Amino acid sequence: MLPRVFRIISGSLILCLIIFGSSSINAKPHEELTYEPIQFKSPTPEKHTLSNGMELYLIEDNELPVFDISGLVKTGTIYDPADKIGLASIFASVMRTGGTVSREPDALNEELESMAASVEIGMSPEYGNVSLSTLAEDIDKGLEIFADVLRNPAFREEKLDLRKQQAIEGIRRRNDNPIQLAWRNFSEILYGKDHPFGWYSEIEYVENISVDDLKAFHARYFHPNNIMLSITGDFDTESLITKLEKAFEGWGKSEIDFPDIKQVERDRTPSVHYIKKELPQTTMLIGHIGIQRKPDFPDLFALRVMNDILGEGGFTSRLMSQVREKHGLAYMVGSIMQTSLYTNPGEFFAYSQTRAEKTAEAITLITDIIKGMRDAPVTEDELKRTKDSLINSFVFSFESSSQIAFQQMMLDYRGFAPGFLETFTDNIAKVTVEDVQMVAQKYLHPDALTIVTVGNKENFDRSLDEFGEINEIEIEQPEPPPVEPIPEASDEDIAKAKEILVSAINAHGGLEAIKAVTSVVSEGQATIAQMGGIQMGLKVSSLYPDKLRQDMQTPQGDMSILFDGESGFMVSPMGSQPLPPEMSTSLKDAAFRDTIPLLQYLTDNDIPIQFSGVEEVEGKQASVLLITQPSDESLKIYVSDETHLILKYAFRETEMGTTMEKETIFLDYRDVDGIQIAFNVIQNVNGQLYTNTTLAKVEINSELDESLFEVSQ
Amino acid sequence: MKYKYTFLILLFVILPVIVSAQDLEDRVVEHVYPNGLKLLMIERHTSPTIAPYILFKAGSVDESDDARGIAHMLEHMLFKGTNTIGTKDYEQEKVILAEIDRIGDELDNERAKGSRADENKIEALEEALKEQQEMAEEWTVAGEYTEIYTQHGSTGFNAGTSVDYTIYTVELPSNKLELWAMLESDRLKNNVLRQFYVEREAVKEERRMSVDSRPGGKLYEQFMASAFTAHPYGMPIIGWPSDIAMLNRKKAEEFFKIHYAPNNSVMVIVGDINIDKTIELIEKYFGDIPSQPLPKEVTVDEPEQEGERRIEVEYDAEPQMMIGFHKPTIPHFDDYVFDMISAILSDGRTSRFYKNIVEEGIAVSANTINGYPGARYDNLFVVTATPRSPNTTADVEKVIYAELERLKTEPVEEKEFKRILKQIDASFIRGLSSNAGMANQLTFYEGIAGDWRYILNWRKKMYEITPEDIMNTAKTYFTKSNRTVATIVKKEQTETEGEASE
Repeated sequence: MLPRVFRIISGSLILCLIIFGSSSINAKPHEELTYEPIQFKSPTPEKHTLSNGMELYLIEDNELPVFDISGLVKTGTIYDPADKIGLASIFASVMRTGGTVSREPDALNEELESMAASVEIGMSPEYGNVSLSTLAEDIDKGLEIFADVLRNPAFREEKLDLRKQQAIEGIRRRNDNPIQLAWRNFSEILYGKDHPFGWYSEIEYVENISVDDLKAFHARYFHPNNIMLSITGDFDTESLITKLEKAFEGWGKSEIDFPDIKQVERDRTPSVHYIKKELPQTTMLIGHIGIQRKPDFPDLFALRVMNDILGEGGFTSRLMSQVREKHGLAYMVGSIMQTSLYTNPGEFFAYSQTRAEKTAEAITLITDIIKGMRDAPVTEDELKRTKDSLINSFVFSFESSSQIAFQQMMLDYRGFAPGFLETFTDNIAKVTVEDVQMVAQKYLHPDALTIVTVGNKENFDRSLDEFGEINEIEIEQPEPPPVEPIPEASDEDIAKAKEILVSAINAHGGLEAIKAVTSVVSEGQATIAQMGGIQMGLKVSSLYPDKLRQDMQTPQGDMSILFDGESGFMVSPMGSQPLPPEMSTSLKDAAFRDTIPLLQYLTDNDIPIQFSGVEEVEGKQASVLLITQPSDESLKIYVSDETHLILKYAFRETEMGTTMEKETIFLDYRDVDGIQIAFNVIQNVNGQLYTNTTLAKVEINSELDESLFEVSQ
Repeated sequence: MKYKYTFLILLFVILPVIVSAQDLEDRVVEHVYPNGLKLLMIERHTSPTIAPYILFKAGSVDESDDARGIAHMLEHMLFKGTNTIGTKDYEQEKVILAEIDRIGDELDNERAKGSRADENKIEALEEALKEQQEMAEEWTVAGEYTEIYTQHGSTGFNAGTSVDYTIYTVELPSNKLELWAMLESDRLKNNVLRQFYVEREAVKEERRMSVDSRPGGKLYEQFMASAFTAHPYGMPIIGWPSDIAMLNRKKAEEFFKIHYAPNNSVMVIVGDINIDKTIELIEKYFGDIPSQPLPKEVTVDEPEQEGERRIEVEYDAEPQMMIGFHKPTIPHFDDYVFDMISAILSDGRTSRFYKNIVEEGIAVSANTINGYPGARYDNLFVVTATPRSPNTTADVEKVIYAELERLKTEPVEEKEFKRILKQIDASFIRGLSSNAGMANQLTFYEGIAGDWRYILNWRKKMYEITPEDIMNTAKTYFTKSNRTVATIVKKEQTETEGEASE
């Protein structure tokens, strides 16, 4: 029996925790000690909502002349778009490092650090966090800067670039640490690469992220009604609220449009995975998708007790006492049952790092211990110890006012039922041996364990195939695509390039004829090699200099891609939708690459063109010209030495997060109204044939209305 | 729960301070017992909790060459209980433990013969050892010592061994002070280092985890071993694998006997206590532990370095680097100057390394630490950096040296000093917000500097430092011949690299 009083009285939590010494006949000396009951009045935060909807949790605490805000923003890495994984984290750092509209980054740092204050922004899967820490004497200045960062971040490009470089370096290093390596693969296997809990960033995704993405992220989530702040320190509540109203004046409420959160739809299936890393020790993660906590989740307390007994309760847990204390098979071993997430189920897993020669032995022992939780009831002694431990250590949840205020705010954010803290110790005390076994049977699935190992199997005690068929995961070193800087051109190369350009213009029909072209419409058939060689009718309309429309007759119906010079749209039987910014960039490059306007453009503008040697294209000698496209990617133009017609373009493009090497090859040039046009165009991607297009009809200077390139509203 | 053993020294840099020196002087109560035990207390009733810490001036530098790793091993063993805790009947158990020692010794000696060892003998001994261990288990109550703390609501129950000292920490509800005094004094008076050979395996796993499987751990160990040639600061705290393999109960007991004396320790209790009652209570439980002659200090001086040392560590990981410069330890004035230099170079986003190395994209991180690996003896000022590809460690090294050179020639501006001093004062205040944080500071400085008032004096000294002091210190120590440089290189690269460099 654990007598205790724990109830709420007039805005204060009163903690009263007593454990009576149990005196058995052969009591050890410490068992004869008696303890004074603890009577403790813990402050509870005062809740207040600002006129703009921001929720506050306030505790005045004048023990020290400090002032702290720790807040939550309802957002998170779970909202990362699939082709920009990593966006939310990068957003958070650049929101701080990029300065504000009126404060340059250096000035912001200087201002904060010279008053020993800090403003920080962070990002977690299910929330963003914002914080301010200042001395009490600097509250006003601190609040002003804090509000400025929240409301007016500038996301300066150079700070985004720096953060992207750092993120890429992090990705390059992600295989150095065996725990990180095991964890990344474990969650991917559990949740799948298409779920935010399973995916991870890649270099290509990072490269996709633009300043506009950060601005859009900010505009979407950073509204006062989407923010909660816990505030503690040496202040007066009434005057602080006035200050906050003033600091956030003019920042209005706004409806937040949250993207849908993808739900995990995966069955728990057993599987065994091995990742080779030449280390003396095997890192192992063993587990499955866990539970999703509902706001009212009465099993929570028995689960907490169960997992403490299994592997979270320090040295006294079964995993620790068996695997480490009894068998010396690990230094670090334990288990986690994730229950704090609210959008999706978290993981259940056990972990250990064990010498290679004992790998299978450790896995067997750990899985047996997990099974044991279901198969037999825990002992009364284990139950009592664990409950005592949870109840007695509960007082450490109330050590400081900042901890208390933040904790209450977080519980509310995560949707814990009101009164959760007040009833916590009562609820733990009620847990029985039967409850523990019940939750073990309900939530532990030893027959559906995913086992991920990182180590060197040559030294394993036994093959892991006794646990299931082994899937060996190959790990590649992620590297950014090599940057191909345009080499410094000599005067000679520039002169030579101009000469080649002139000959190409003449070969294609002469400058005058080319300049007279304002539009081209081509029709033909395209064969898409990668999709089983399907054919489709194709019509490409170009209105120079930069408008493009491509109409396709596909087996799924008619589809069109429109580009108005700035942004692109896709029109299909399903309706029309804007294309992502990266596709628009590609289309802009594509419009730029159109031979006729390109030749005009290169003649009219003094842009750097350089000659970069001679290569062979389809058996013909070609001179290579190098220029820069609007996307800053370089373009290689191959001009035939014999006919002076353009034989090929080569360039790099990023699509859906992957950077690819592309080539367009022009064959079968024919004369159309005095202009040379290629009637056969081949596209290669990464050296593989992608499309082969044959034109039947090309019309020059037909009347094209601008509305053809826009989506009707 | 982890035993952290290497990085305790980081405390030295993050130095939280107090609202005013007077505040702290007024609030710390000191009591020295006849047996030499010194107790420091701060009464603080913010929550009904306490942070009682004990430090023994017994670190890996105090080990003899045939027992490297024993300080850390002993720290683990002191969680195994006493003659009443962790056992069902010590009298019965004792006999078996002696037998385990005998067999274990014989086994270790045979294994140590390496290729000349008798495999059959080893196997027979292993069998015999296992049998005795199983018999001993009959009498063992595994984990009882830690279990008692856990059941009574402990948090932060931990211990750590550094080159300089071993510290035992815990936080408890304040009504458990007597329990703590009883358990802690019991393990000083009546400890039984049972389950030694099983724990030795766990320590080997700890080494594999924190050194062998971690590029940073490996780099650190090799770096230290190169920077120090004579002084034991160069040896790993956990010991080399072959050191750990030869540790036994006898060595641990000897180390305990020499170093775990009341007059070689510091006790600190911060939190919800009554000063007078606490003094009495500690007297009751610790007063009868006799004082003893203090162990000898290390007398080896690291000879002056006469030329740059460069080493590579081959590892399957991306590059990282460490650069170290020998320098004097506290209370030498230059040590204070190095604390200031460290703040100038790498504290916050206004620091020089952050602005000129990290923000320039040359490295993803570049930091400095004053006082590696310890503070009882002369130590190192260390720079660590992680280059950002395609920059190499050589590129990063170049910009680091440029920053160090700047310290020699350009006087530090008033503005920079002011900012750092304000931060020192602010962290002084913030440091007061937790029992554990204050307990840490007091134990550390009382134990290592010999007086907790070092904290107060430190702040004063920081205010006295002039731009000239910084230039002089930089000129004296940041020299090529005084430095050691260690880098991680990938295995496959090392063979071709020599050819590639033109």
